[in-house]
Amino acid sequence: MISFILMVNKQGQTRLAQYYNYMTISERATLEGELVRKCLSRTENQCSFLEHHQFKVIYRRYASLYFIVGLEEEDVNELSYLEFIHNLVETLDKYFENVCELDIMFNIEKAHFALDEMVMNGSIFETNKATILGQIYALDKAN
Amino acid sequence: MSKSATDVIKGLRKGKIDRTAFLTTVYSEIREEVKSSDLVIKTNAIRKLFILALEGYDMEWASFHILEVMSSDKFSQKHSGLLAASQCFKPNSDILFLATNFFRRELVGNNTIDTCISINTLSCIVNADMSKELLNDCVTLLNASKPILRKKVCILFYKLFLQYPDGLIACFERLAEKLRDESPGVVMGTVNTIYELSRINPSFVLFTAQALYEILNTTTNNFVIIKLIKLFIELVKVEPRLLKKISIPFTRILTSNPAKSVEFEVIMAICVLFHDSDDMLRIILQKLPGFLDSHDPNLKYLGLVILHKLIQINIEYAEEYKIFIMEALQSKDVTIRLRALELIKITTTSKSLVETIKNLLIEVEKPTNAGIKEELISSCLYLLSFNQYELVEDFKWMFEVLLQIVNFKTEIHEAQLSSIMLDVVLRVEELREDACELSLNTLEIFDTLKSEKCEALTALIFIIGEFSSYFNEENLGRALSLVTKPRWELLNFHESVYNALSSCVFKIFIRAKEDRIFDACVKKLQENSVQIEHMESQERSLLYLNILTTADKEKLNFVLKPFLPIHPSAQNFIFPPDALQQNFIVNDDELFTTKSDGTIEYYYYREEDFGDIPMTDQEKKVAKQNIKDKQMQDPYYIKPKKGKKKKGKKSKKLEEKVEEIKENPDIIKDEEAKKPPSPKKYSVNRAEPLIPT
Repeated sequence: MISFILMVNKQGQTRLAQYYNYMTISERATLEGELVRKCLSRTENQCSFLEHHQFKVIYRRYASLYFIVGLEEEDVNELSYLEFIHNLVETLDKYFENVCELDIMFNIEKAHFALDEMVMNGSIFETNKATILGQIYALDKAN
Repeated sequence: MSKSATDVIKGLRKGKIDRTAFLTTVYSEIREEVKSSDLVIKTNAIRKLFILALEGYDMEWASFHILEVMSSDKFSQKHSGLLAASQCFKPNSDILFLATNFFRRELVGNNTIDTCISINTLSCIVNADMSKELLNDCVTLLNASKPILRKKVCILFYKLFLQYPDGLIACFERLAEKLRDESPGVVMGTVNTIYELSRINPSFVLFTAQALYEILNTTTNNFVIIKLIKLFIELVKVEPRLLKKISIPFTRILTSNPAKSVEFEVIMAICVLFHDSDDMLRIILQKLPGFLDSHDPNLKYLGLVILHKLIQINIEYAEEYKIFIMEALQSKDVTIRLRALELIKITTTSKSLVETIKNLLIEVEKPTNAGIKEELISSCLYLLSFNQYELVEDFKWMFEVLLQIVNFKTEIHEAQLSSIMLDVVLRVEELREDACELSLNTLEIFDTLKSEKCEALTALIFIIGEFSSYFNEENLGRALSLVTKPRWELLNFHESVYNALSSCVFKIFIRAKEDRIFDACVKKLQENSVQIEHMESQERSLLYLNILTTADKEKLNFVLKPFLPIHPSAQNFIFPPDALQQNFIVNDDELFTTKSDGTIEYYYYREEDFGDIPMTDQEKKVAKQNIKDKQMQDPYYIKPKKGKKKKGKKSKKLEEKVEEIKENPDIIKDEEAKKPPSPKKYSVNRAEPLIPT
């Protein structure tokens, strides 16, 4: 079960934050800051997995944005979550057509919706891009 | 003109303006706008607030406004409201009561996409009461025509069950039917929920095993395969016969599936379930270099995780892969170093201990390891004290290592460190002489050893005091001059240090018994009793001072003889003196109390106590009953065993017993054998199952 999914840029500004276990605002802010600092200190040659307090953290950098997934479990298949992050980015890419950080900033609600189509309750339940995109287009129509 | 959300973002991006000032203005604007009755303005305010939440501003005060926006008919407004709600509604806040009806309307509504976004938010914020209310509506949705709704509801069920477990029994079968749904998304959702439930109570979900097996054989979705593998591990715990059945699909997946993540998952599963099977292990060993030798650091990391599991199965693998572990410890990547540390903990033998500790201590001093210093030191301590010091061959070397670690000054490990030091010096007699000398050397620089609780310092002082008989002339002098230095008071150590110092001074004198140092000791104790602020330390100093100055020097000899430990059954032969036998009353006030209306309430009901108090039989009865009532209500009172208490149980006197033992030493063994076997201890199951089976 995923505990949180974050998209944080290199300056430490959070662009998207979805928490699946309740944490107070101050806890969230500290967590995000510390994680981004840890991610920034790592190079390309190092693995994408971290341990932070009780969390296992999987992250990947796409241009200026860090996609961070945190779990509180013991036996975690880190590679599958890395694949999930890639899936998420590809989906956003297809929808926004060459997605960049600005797209997410100005369309935060749509980005949240796309994420909610893939992960709910901390479980990944849909990975088929076509299905997810179909939903997002339906959302556009409803708006 | 109010800003829109986009304007806020654009505003934040402008480099020249002051961010905080801008945000504060926006925030105060929002506070005004959100109170407006026009939904458009309100929604706008909520949207802006949502952006501010990313900057760390609290949204909770606007909960009621968010609820109003959510209830709007316009989709975009509803969506903004729901999104804000999922971020900021606290789990137990009152607003959720009001929201329940809203969600019920949404769940039964006709508009698919409205229901979808409501379910999204619901999964974030649902609490126990809401679960109870909304469960039935969710079950209806399980049969919705649109697969998207069915899918979402399946996932939602997990949260509902967590909050309202009683609902589980009623609805679970309906949920399990969805495993055979035609839409793969629904199946995936159901598998997810069942997996999470199996972690709590596997026997409850066991009946779905057949369906899950079929899915395992047919699905092509890697995420589903991974979840199923994890699920089966849980199920095998309660149904071992499944093991045989799943070995076929597992082997198939291991050899045919190209995805590394699936491969990893299957390998881990096999290590857990099939650790006896040589064929399976052989395949894994073939696959392992694919991970360890890879250029991809992620795969290297996973390789180390697999290695960890393999070594736990069979320690022989450690030898083959030693090189990998050593390399990993030197890696530039912190995460990999941590993994290597875990591996070192389980692969060190007594032969390799010295080398390993040396390497670890070198690593601690490297600046690149500042982040994992704690882990490195705790690994050292773990290895040294493993299984009652099983790995250690040279205790003098071990003590030196411990003193080295003291110099690293880690506060977290100080308690463990000092207890290991004391333990090992107390138990290993041969070590004592060297330990004293080494401790003395370290204590010369006691200024630098100050910490919050000074446990290490206290331990060292204790050692040189307790075992000062091992000192030669010169060292004794050194020790004495060390503990009598005036610098100790100036540095304001923790209380326990001063306590230990007083005892140490006393013990040093006792060992040496020379007059010339008598004055020095007395003087020091006198100073301690006045200069040190802590009451306990002053008390002790005065105590020792009194003993030294008033007691007869010969009588102090009793302190010299070492106390040896006494076997517990031998302790039973030592009876407390008669004065303590009867439960004498210390304080008459405890016997009874006079209540406000003048009546007297008695506390004690034992016959021997009532002897002195004039009480009628009726009063005694009442007093006894009072006590019994109090005890019944007290949850911590341990009820005595039924049966008469035998008075005067210990009939034989101490001397007679000792005579008996001298004649027949085996009597102690017989006494032990006569004791009834100790009662079975039931382990506490901390993972309390949702449904008691």
